[in-house]
Amino acid sequence: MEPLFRLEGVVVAEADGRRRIDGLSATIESGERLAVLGPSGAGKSTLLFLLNRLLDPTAGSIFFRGRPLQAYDPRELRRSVVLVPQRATAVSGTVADNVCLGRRIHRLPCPREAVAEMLAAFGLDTGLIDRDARALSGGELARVALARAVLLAPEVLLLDEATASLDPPSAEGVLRALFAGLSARGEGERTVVWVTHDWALARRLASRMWWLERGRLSRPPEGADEAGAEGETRGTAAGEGGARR
Amino acid sequence: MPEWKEALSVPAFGLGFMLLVGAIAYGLRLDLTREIAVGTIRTFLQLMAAGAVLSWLFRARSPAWLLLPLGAMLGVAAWTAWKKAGRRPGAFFRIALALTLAEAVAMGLFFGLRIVPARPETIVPMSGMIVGNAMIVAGLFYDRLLAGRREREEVLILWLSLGADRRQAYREIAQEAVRATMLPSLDTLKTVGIVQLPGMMTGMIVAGASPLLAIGYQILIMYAIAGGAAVTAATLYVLSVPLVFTSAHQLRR
Repeated sequence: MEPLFRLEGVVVAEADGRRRIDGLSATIESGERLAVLGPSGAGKSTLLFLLNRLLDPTAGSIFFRGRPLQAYDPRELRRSVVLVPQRATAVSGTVADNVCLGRRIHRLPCPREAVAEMLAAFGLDTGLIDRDARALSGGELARVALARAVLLAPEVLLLDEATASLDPPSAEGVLRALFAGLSARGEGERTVVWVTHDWALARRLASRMWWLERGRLSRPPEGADEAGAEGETRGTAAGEGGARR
Repeated sequence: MPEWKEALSVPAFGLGFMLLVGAIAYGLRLDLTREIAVGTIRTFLQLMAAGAVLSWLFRARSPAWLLLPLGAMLGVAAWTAWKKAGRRPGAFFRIALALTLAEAVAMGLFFGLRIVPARPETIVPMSGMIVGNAMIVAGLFYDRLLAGRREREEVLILWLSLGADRRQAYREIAQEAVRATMLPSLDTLKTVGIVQLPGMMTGMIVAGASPLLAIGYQILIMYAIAGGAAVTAATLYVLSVPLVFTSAHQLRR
């Protein structure tokens, strides 16, 4: 069966010739929770930008459900493949406006009850709903960003260190809420590609792990993970009754 | 021509002011001698040349000749604003188009409504004011737009990452850029006559026109300048989406 994403010799080169992604060939299956790890500057964020076409490769091809990424209207593609960027940010307006942003863009209804439910699910006080979003703290904004993405019920969620501003126990709770929220909304399998620095968390929650270094998939160096995982590693455990459903 | 004598002697006395500027710069060791010399000489030569061209133009009665100074005016203004816009590829023709449109709308109103007689004596100086101000507006618009592109990159990516049309993301920075271009002319409209008397009016009064008539034209010109600024900014607002975003709704690097 055709994988969800297929990358073939993907290269992203800067104007000066430096390669942020250097000949990456790989597949991502539907329903995976793929954790992407690696040193800073390894190309992890770039990889996510490629998957919902905020960036086009300099060379190589990316296929989504067997069709080249360019064959999709980028706006429709990003409706199903949603990216939560690294630094959570807000548009002007209330918390509700911000949580509903994705749905409003696609002219979908966004009832207050759904917003309140999302805030609660991500550990936010529902009293914040009418507060000015730009008054929120970084951690609160990160939760709003995730609520915003989940409410769109995307097929694929791309998380760029979306929980980096939270302490590890909160991060785990938020991610579990996220996986639960995704499964509860919409039909079919939900896929998450998730850039993180937290090995332990990745081991607990991911169904598969990638180690990205200098724009390529490779083996993690000794000591990067106590267990000395391989370049492409099956997650040993899975929370919530098995990540691979 | 005795007119020429006066045209040369008046600024010659004005050199006294520039000597004052030079003396101050020298006294304070500002290292501006070259700048002052070049500025003084260029002002003199450029305006004299413009005066000579205008004198000749006002006597040559074929309106086709008017296209020459208007074209030069628009070209130089577009070039200057384009440099201010960081010589961004594709911006030049957009600026040229916006300035031309502002000029066309202003002249269309002036002459279409018969507010002023359509003569070289009115067309050229009024165009100069409209286009000169539109040039500043165009430079300011791109300056603010590109600053918004840098400073608000995260918000732009947020819109795009959720599947927004590039125009929705664009509005986030472009509205602010248009606003910034309008504020200076609005501020001028609020303080004119109290803080300063505008140059055109001062010139007319000094040259012997009645203050009331001078003021009437000044008000007209100031409204027209604000209108020209708005047309310029609106044109650039509509045309500049592709300078910030690709057709695939991506942020241009």
